[in-house]
Amino acid sequence: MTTQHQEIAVSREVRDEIERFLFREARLIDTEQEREWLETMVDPEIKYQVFSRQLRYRKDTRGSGDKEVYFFDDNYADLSHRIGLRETGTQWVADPPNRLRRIVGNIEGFEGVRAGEYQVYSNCMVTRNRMVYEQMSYAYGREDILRRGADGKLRLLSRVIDFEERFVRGKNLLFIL
Amino acid sequence: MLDIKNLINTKDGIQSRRIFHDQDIYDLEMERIFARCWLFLTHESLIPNAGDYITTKMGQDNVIVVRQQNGKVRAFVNSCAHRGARVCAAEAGNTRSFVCSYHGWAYGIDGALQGVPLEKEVYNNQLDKSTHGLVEVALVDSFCGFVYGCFDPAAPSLREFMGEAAWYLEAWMGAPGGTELIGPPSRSILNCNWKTPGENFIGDMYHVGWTHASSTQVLFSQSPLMALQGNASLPAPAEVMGMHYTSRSGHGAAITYGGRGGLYTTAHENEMLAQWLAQQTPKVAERLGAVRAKLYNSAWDGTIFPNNSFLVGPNTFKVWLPRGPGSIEALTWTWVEKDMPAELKRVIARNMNQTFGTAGMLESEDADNMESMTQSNDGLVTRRGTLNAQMGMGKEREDAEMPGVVSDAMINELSHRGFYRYYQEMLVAESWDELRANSSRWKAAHLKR
Repeated sequence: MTTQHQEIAVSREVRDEIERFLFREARLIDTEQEREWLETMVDPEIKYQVFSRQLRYRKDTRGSGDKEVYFFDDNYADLSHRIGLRETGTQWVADPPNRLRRIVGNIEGFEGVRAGEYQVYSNCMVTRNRMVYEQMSYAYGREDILRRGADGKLRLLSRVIDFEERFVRGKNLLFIL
Repeated sequence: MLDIKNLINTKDGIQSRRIFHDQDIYDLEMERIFARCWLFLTHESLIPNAGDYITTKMGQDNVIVVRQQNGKVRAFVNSCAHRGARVCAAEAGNTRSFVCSYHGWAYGIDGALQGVPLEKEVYNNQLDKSTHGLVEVALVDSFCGFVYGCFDPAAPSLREFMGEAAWYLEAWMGAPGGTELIGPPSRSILNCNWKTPGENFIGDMYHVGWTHASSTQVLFSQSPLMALQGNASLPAPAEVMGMHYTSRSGHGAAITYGGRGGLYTTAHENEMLAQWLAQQTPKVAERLGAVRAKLYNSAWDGTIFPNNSFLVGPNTFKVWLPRGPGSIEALTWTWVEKDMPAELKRVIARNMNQTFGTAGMLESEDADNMESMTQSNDGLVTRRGTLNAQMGMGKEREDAEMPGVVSDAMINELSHRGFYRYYQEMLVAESWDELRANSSRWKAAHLKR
């Protein structure tokens, strides 16, 4: 993806704030506190997208059809539904519980296009353990926009993940990336 | 010793568990089913122009499907005639030639070998290029725009292979303005036998209320399917709610009357689809009659034998590519009607991916079952046993209008029994003549008690 904004680095204080945000987010998602994540860290206008690109030759500009498929193209209500599945008590795929563990790194923060917004890049490495024998790993980069709300707190306004593994060996992406 | 004649007992609705495990059965499936049956390749809408191509698999054979200059679609094995490397690494695109990445042999989109680097110098002009084209898939044809291929030149036509199922499939595949697939597909591995998702999609409405208890509760609050949640009771007798069909070549489906709409979480999205269906239904009725207009408005889960499944309602379209007895690659597209408004197409695709895509909430719920019903048979004692698909036995009948064998209950296993009946026939039969000889009596296996 190309950079859409001027690369004006955020201040050290804001950088610390962004890092704390991403680390808290990782901890909440990995410990089944997604509802807390949604309610305290996600902007109601969230656009949450994960897509996969079909592999085509570099020089091929004439091919037909869409070149991406969106695994996630979620708004706030959609994310709430995903989280709501486990809360029913009948989501068998989450019982016994899945265990997630993620490392978030390569964090960069820049002033956003609009005031009070920050363009944030990070890389993620996630391992999911479930059902005795299953261990799956996923690596991907995130392009986020964080927005400062009226309460002064940062919230996730936009997340776009260009998912690189074309053929997903970890079966599915049924977790918050 | 492999006793293929006793793997399936259609009369009693019983299957051997070994069909989900044994390597020798899998090898026979590749030879007798995947090298002989029509297999889904792509949709006309994904390769509209000359030179447009996609790559996929037939069984475990890599193939290229490419639109010719004359508009016809042909398919070739994606392997160079020289040393066997692939001639196309991309999943899709547009090209004038396929060039092997090993030594640069170049093939036209008609599969003919056109260019050999240093041909004069290293082959002394003695290489016969005319006998070194790409191996061609014997038969390629399309049904309502859905393109299928078959390696066996002696196979029946695609239309004949679709058989009685064609009458049903036309109710949605043959929508008044035609259908299209929204590509590219999502692609993921499931560690299951290729038949387990096929038999799930072919008509297992029994699992919806239980496997999908949480997602029916959260996502389908505006759908008649919501009533299935928890498998505690049915809102109406199963006979009133829908039906099953099975056909000569094992294709089948469960149909839930009136269930196509109401599957989205917002009233606005449900209303958009409801308006579309209301507007199109008279056209469907005029073209295909009142019964199929009813089917057009219904939810379906179906499989086209051997490995192509679909849903009407969630509008998923899938192919299960085998990778050995215990592994598949699942390819998933969204299907829509060509003349739908662009916004409705986007709504359908978004909802399809949220439910049956790689991050799909229902897809992942199914996957655990498909995998465990495969892997449990790694146990020697376990796989000595059999499986039960007896639901609805004794209720099968023929209908004056609806072809094949039908049963008046949408929670049913008639279509499972039909799938495995044909599965066993394909494994046993040496030739298509032998299969055709059974064609006059296949219904009796389901109807006779």
